[in-house]
Amino acid sequence: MSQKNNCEFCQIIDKKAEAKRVFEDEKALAILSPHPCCAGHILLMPKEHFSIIEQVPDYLIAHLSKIVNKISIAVFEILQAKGTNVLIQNGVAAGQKTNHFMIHIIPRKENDGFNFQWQPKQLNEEQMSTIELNLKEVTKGIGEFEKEENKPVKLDSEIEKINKEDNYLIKQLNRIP
Amino acid sequence: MVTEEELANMSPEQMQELQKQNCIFCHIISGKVASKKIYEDDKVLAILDINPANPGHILLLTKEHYQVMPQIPDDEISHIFMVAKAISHACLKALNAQGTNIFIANGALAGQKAPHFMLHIIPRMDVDGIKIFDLPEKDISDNISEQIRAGLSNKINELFGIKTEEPIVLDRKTEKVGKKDENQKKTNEPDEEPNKEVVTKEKKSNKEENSDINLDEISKFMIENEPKK
Repeated sequence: MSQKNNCEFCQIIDKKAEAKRVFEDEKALAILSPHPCCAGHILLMPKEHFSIIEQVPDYLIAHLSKIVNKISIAVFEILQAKGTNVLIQNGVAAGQKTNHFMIHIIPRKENDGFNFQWQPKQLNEEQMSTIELNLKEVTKGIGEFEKEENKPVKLDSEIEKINKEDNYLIKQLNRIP
Repeated sequence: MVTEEELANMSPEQMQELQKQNCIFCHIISGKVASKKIYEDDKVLAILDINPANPGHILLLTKEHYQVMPQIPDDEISHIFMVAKAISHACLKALNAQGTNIFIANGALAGQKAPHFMLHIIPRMDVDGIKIFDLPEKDISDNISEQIRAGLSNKINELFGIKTEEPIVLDRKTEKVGKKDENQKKTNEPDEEPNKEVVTKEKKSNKEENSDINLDEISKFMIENEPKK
C-alpha cells in the first residue's frame, strides 16, 4: 500500500523511523509528538493505517479509549498536570494534519498559553430544532457495535463502503505531502 | 441550603449525592431540565449544546455523575468513545459536515466548565473560522522529552500491570512517593531509602494506584462551600 509507505507514522510503527515511544501493545502505539504543541504532548494511534475515525473499527476505538484514560492518569501523576485535553481532529477541516488517525493527549498547566475556548454561535430555536431532527434521523441506527471476532469479514467490507462515502475527507487528506 | 458544618461531616457518598443534586447535567439526564436529545442509551446521553462552537455541537454525557475521565471505568469509557465515533459519523452524514472535532476537557484548567464529565463532538466546515483546534508547534528539548518519555512509559505500563526493567529516571517520582507518606499513614516503609520505596510501590496493584489521584484537586469546581481542609 503506497499510502502506508508514505505515512510518517506507519514508518514509526514499523520502526523504520525514530520516535519517543511511551506505550505500545499489539494494536496501538503512543508516542511523544514529533511536532509537540507542549512538553508531554502525546499521540495515540492504531498500528493499522486508518485516515479517519469512521474507518477505525469500534472494538479498536474501545481499545484505544482505555489507553487514553490510562495515559491521562499517568500525565496527571508524572507530569503534575493540572488538567488534560483529549482531542481528535477528524478531517482537514477539523485541523487534521496527518493521514494517520490519532488521538492527541495534551497535558495542561497554569498559563500554558492554550485556549480551547470557543466563541458560542447564536442559533435560533428553529435552526436548533432542524439540526436536532436531522441528527436524530441518523443516530437512530446507533447501538450495534462491531466486535473483534468479526474482524476479517467486517473490516474489509466496512472500509470499502466508507471510502466511497467519505471520499471527500480522504481525498483531502491524501493531498498532504 | 446545607451548612458548612453539615458539609464537613458528610461521607463521600453523601457528598456525591449533593454534587448530583447541584449538577445541571444530572438534571438534564433525569429530565428535570429540558434539552434537545440526540441519542440516549443506558450509559450515555447526547444533547445539543446550547452554546455551540458550530451548529450541531453535541455534548455526550455519562449518565452516571463523574467529574473527570480518570474516574470512569474502562467499559464505560470504551462505550463513550464508540458512541462518539457513531455520532461523529452522524454529523458528517446528517449535517454535511466536512470534518469533526472530538474534544474532552479534563479539569477546570483544561477548560472544563461543569463538574460532569462530557465529550464534545463539533461538526466542522472548511471556512467556519474556528482556529482553536489547530495545534501550534513548539520546540521541546530532547533531554526534557526523554525524561518525560521514561517517566510516562513507566507509569503507563504500571497502570496496565506490565512490569518494566527500565530504571526510573524522573527525580520527581521519588519526591512524590515521599510526600505521599506524610498524608497516608498506611505506608510503613522507612524514609531513608527512597529508591527502594519506589520499587515496592511499583509492585502494588493498579487499582490502588488509580485511587491515588486527588480528583478534587483536578476539578476545583466542587460545590461552592466546599469544606476547607
